[in-house]
Amino acid sequence: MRLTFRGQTALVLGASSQIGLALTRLLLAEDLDVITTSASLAGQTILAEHFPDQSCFVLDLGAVSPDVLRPVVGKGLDYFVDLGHGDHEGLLAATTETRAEAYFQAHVSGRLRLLKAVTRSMLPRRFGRLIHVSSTAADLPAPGQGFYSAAKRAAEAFYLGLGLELNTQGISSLNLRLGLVDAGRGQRFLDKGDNRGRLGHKIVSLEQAASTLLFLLSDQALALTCTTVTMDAGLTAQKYA
Amino acid sequence: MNPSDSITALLSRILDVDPALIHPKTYVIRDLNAESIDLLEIAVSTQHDLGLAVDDDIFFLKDIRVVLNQAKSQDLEPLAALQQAYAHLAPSRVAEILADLPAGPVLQVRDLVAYVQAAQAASPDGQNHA
Repeated sequence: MRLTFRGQTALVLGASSQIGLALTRLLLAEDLDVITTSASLAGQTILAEHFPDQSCFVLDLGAVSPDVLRPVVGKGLDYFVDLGHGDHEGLLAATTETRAEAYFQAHVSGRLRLLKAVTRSMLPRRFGRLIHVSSTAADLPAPGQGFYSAAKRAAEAFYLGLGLELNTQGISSLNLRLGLVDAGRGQRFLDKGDNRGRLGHKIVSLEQAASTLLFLLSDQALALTCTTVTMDAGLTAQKYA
Repeated sequence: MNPSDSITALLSRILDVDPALIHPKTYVIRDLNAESIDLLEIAVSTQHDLGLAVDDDIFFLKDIRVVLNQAKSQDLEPLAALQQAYAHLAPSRVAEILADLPAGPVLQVRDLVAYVQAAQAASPDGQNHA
């Protein structure tokens, strides 16, 4: 089966992550134009080194403004992949209120602000595909992941809502809940102690994650919309760990 | 194309209405049956076709009741509060809106035109990019 893509321009939020880099390479191999973003200057440097011919921007969800968004979405988008991920681990009952408020301001309100701009850039073209890379933690957080879980659930609701509201305008959406991915933080976790041996085959490889995202962006997957798909190599299928 | 013709063409296309039926005092929601998704498309098309930044709340007079409630809680004159919130509308239009509010959504085609005219006048190149 050969994948086809009716759109041309993709925006990858959080593209400096290992999944983001791998996905961007796959998108470029399909002759798509890719606009990449990272939340930091260091990430932007990485993107510029890997993809010198593509546009890359610093985009921090905590600082989303029209001036920041204009160059990113201004020319119109067909695809948006949201790999934005904020770290804020800690017990909910022990949290600092200001840190919690800032976290949700960025990862809920800031994300919605970005999604509004993204979808409005897709509407004139009557086509758009939104993929949110979520996590099994949205449903099954570990202790300390309450903020992360809450933000992911809110984001999932945004994506489902947007797909529902804008489907008549050619825009579809999907949440992909990944389990333990052998990349980035997941890789660091797996490399500790006997985690890798203990978790055995319940690990999603970087290649699997990136290629699945590519498929989900393709014309062949567009009927998968307004829904959430879990891809965790069976990690959460078992009652007890 | 002048703002009035631009808005009429845009409304005709999006709402699938004969442009001959669209007049300045035509109600966008009451007469043309525009729904939320239509208003979104109108805003996006205005932004895209006319190169204007669109604040949906102001453009569509969405938060009139919020403005009035705030004016009431702050003991301000309702007309003055509305005029401040919707500076692109003539005082006579604002007074009409206040009187018309009990009858339903007050947005008329001329209000959209007024917004576009004000936005174009405020921008040096006739466009007001967000």
